[in-house]
Amino acid sequence: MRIIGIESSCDDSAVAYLDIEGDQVVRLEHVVASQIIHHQFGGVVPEVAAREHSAKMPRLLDELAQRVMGEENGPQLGKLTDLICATAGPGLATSLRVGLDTGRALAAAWSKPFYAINHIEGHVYSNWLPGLGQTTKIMNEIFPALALVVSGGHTELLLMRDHGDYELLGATLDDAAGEAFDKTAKLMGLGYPGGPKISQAGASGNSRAIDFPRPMINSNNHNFSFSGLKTAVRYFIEQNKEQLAGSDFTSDLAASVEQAIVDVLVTKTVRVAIESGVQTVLLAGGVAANRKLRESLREALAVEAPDVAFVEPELIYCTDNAAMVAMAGYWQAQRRAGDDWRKVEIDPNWELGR
Amino acid sequence: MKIAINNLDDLRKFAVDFALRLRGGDVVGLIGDLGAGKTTFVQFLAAALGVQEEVKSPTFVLVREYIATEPTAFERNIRKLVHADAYRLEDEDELWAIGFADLVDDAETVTVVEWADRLPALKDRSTYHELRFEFDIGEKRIIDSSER
Repeated sequence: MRIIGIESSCDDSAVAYLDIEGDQVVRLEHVVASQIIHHQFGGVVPEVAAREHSAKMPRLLDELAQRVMGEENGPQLGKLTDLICATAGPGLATSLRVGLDTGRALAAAWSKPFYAINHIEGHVYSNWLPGLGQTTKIMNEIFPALALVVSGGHTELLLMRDHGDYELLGATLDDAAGEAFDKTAKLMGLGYPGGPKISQAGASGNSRAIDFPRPMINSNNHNFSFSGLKTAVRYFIEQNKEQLAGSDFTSDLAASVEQAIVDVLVTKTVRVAIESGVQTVLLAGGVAANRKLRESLREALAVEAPDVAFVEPELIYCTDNAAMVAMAGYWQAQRRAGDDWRKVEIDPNWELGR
Repeated sequence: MKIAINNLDDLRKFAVDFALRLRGGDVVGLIGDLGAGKTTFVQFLAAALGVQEEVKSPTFVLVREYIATEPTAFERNIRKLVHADAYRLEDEDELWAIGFADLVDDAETVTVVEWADRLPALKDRSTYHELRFEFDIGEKRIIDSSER
């Protein structure tokens, strides 16, 4: 089955072509706009350009078609496609509209089935994308599974009973984990993006040096809250200005902040995994690239729930991309007929599992 | 006008009072540093307007829209709450480029913008309220309120 995936839910836009035969991924091409624009502008991407999805989409598809078909045969892409899917939500309305409209225009023009995909579901399916040099990521008998989806804009715990059968068990009440990284990094003067900067700065630091609050870590509530961490970090910095002038202490600070965020994510995920009796824990989203999170979650599960398998996505598929959308579309297509492209609408507040 | 906010309860009460003074078409600018309480204020404001969904930080998505369900809000022509965040924007044009003007111009919408100091054009709106969130000791805040 040959699928075109389109992702444009917020900042970046992306397209992908995925060909699955049996359980093998025989072809995977994906293009992300920020990488193309990077070349065009010689490395500095004006923010306004980064978000002009409508201008980028034709270029992205052109690039994809050339990669899949070769330069001369690009226009024939529709002949080698079986279905089209595009993110319909959640996200920013204007961005979503461009992706969705492009997708259904293709579906209409080429008479192919169309699937509107949930962005969070896309992230969950990043775990099915094979790594470089691999053709498959066989995941048999993984259900029920628990997915922790963590990014700049989302932090959710989803029970996945089967493909397409989700229940939202918990989510952030305020800031997402990725956002917590970015904002605490800002408070520490560490720059953007916060996650990698904090990891870097804290690499040689003592992560137990400062005991930042781990909001809601002990509550039976499965929700998360990270906004209190901002005020705690801010307060700490104000109270310890002289000490922070030394770089050792800054690395202790960064390491401690990272530990606080990771502890909350890991503790809740492991607890919920045990309570709900899942077979597998899936990690997903931009923050899934954080090494401390990956390692801590793996270790905690190995100790506290050794029968639970841990699956993490390839690093390149952690951030927003269309390959994951195409993979989500593949599994949707196994279970249901597509959506009516005439009627499908964006849903900026679309919540999976509620 | 400066209002002392000693705890979350004070903030909630202030938000409820503030909601009663709003009308459809109003724009509210929130200014204050990280952790000052801007999003928390919007959560309380949204509840006062009868928004059923949970309001979360709009930093990444930039703009979120919510439906107001409170009958007293309808009386003041408020049907929708738009919650925007200029924190990630480097240029105010970015927000206008994504169709923000259409949302703000709607006569039945109350628009609240965090980090409003990055969008000077907001002040030109006919009904613009500005709230500045300042830090006091510990969890206390001071809200400086001005209207146009």
